[in-house]
Amino acid sequence: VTKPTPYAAFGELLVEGIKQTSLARRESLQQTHQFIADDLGYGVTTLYVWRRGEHLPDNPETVANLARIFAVAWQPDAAWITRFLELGEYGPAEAVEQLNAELFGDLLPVVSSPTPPVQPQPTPTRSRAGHPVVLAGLNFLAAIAFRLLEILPDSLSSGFLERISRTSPHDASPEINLFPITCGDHGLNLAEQRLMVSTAFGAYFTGLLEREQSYINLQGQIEVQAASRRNGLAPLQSLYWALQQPRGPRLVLIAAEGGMGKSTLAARLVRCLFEEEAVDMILGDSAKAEQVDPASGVIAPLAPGYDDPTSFFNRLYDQLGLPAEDGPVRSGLAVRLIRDRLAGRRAVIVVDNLESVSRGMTLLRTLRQLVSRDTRIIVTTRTTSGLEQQSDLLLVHLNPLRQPEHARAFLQWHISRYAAAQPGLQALLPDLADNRRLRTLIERTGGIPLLMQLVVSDVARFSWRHLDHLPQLFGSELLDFLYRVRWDELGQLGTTGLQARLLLRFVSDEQYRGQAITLDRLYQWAADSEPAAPPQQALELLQERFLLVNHDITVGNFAVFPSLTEFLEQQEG
Amino acid sequence: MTGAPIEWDELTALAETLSQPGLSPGNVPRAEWEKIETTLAQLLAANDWVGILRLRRIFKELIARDSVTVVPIFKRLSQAAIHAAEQVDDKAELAHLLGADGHNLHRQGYHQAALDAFERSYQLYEELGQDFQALQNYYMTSLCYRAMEKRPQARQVLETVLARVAPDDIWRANPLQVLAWLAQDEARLDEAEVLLREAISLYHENSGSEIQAAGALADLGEVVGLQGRAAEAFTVFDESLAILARFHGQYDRQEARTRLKLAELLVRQGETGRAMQLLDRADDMIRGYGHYYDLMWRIETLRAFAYFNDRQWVHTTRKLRLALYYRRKIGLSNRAFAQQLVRRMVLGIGLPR
Repeated sequence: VTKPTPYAAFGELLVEGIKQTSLARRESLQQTHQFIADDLGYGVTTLYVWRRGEHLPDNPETVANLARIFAVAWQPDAAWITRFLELGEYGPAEAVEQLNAELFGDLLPVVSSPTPPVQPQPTPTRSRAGHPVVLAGLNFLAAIAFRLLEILPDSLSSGFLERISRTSPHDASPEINLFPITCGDHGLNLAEQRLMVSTAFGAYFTGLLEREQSYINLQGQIEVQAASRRNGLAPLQSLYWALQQPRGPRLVLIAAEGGMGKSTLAARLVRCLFEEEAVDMILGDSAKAEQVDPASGVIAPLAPGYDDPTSFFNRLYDQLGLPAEDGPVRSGLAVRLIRDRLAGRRAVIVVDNLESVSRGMTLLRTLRQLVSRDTRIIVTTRTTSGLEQQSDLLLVHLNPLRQPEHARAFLQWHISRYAAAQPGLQALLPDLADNRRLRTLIERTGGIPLLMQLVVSDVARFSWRHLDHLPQLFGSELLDFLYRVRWDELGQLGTTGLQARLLLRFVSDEQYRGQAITLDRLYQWAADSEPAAPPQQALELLQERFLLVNHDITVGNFAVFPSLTEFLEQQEG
Repeated sequence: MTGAPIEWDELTALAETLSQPGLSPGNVPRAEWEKIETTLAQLLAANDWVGILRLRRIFKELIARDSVTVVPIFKRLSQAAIHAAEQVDDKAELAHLLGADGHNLHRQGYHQAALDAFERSYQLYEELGQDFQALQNYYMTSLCYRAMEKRPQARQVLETVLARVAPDDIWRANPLQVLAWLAQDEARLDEAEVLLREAISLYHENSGSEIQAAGALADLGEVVGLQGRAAEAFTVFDESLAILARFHGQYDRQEARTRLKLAELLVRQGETGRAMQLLDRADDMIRGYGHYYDLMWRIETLRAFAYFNDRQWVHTTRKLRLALYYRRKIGLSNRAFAQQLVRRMVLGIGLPR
């Protein structure tokens, strides 16, 4: 039972007033809250405190101003206003009466001569197009202004214009509400942007954005650079806090080895920014082996999807609906056009796998010109050489899972998520209490999450003794070994194994093509293949080896890890 | 390259699948477009003109719609088909293909190129004695003239067309709608409203004209709003959006156009926040397709206007500059834009289009 708040009755009336105002103004409740808060000169959170009935406005005049806003917006009757003022402890009955009179007209000053009755106005005649000379002058001025607008550099005009511009309510918001630690837990509905996100980043990253609870917040894994760390806050919240600072870094660089969860953390940040309505547009690209035209689906063989600033900007042009340049993209013009397109939007630009880009540092330098209060950039990379000294970016390192308790939490999450696809995992749950086993697992995998997941799937298939047979390899070498063993194993499993290999290639090829890879599509693919055979067994082989992940248990939304795609590109047959 | 025999039945089935409501180009798997791409390449390599025309005919209905006209394979297929029709000297087919190409060019803002295509098509139909088809293409030149600020020519075309169409012919709705635009351009809003209402009632008589009706309703909403009847205008816009919602994904450009007009009314009403939300939605609906620059510059112009009203000068200049950039890219005069902007603001008849 919720404890009643001291001013609950006032809160209820306030909620009603806000809802009616929202309806009358034909805007969202959120916009109405912002409008009222701005009008009163308070933050939106304070409005919520009053709504919940925890406090009354500290100043009776604020209660009166609220009543005035409601009276203008949706004309409540005098009884409603009276009750609102009384519950808001506006003042004695005389004061309430006086305000009511002001709102409902009784105290209007008497004018000496009666106002003439309002005559219905005919629709204003619009046949007057103005004096030709005046019009010609205006045309001339407008044409000159347009020309200047096109040729003048930003630096000459923007400073002056910024000074004389009105501050929008959005600009003026002084409050920083700390995003909760659960921010980004929920999947996103990408709506119209799904196609673009999926073709740019692939089914794996899209799945990370869309599915529920994709990331487990592990203590000690995220290391935020010292300047942005906040005492008493978990690393993830320090990161959120830094992103919210009006003068804080707008460029987040997530650095770690493959399989550490860079994409997962990037997706988590995007989800949180969306959830908090800090962004409404996802742009960017993943340095991958092929690029798809979002409209036609035609694949252009590129290695990788972007490899220098020019190709990255071309990608942004496509995503923003900007016409392609006739010649090579000039970075100055590109930055100006992209900034112009993004003005008024809240965007996040994701640059995945920066280390694959030949002129990554040049790209990063150019991208910095795009960041603003409303445009954030998230970069994932495996290397950080030359980056530490940069002050305007927030560097985040992902550490391996070194402690048994962290590994335990991670594996418990892994089992709960993937046991449906690999039932053998369930039997490992009691074993996770054994620190000795966990330490061995950490030692053999280096504490890299993806390696732990792959090895644990082997442990579920064989036994813990399997750890003893792993070679002394680390990082990408071990990852390559694990993929290689699985690939070879599938080759020895007859027609089902071969079908599994083909299925893996199909998913890997299809995952940058915009559409979710559902179970129906896999069955269709299997029916169209030679020889046609149901894919169920092949699917089981892949899932129990953790080669295929499914983001949607109901209809299926399959993807492979980007590192596996890289491995498959090197395989024949 | 001769390749494997072409699976015509499979392509026909594909065309049917792609025409389903609720399917936008973005939802079509790559492999589906590849089938068309491969077939076209095969036919071109073999100089199989008849085959190319057959392939184009299979996707005729799909190409006639808004959403896929900008898909590169269909642009290539249309160009190849025009060339094929010239090669086999099939005048009727060529006239049809040129007309369809004119529609696509006009939608994207290439009005002079569209005008050329419509005029060629019209002449071919005249030579063939197919009067109605000739008239339809002649009518389309009025849209191009208007878009290029040549209103007297546009009016002359429309008056000629209307004089040649029977008073009870429901096709009259089309020229009436464009005549309404001209009346609006000349600040005769009451006349524009009457014409649009007549056009809408004719569209409603024809069960296959829902999309045209939705477009005309958007125009009516705009005209009614400009006359100060905002509440009535909102209802009309809702009606237009309700029709488009039934074809989810197939007419994104039309839906974006209705949202743009509704947003313009909201900006004039001072509801900038809500207008911006609508504009963002319209923008998100079409920016992924690329190529719809004619609509993009109008969206950015309205944003500039909204920021101007809000006295946010930096954003105003950014958006206006972008509108100018888009226009320049599709060959539209920015001097004409300046004149149109001044004239329309003075007359109070909405933003340039």
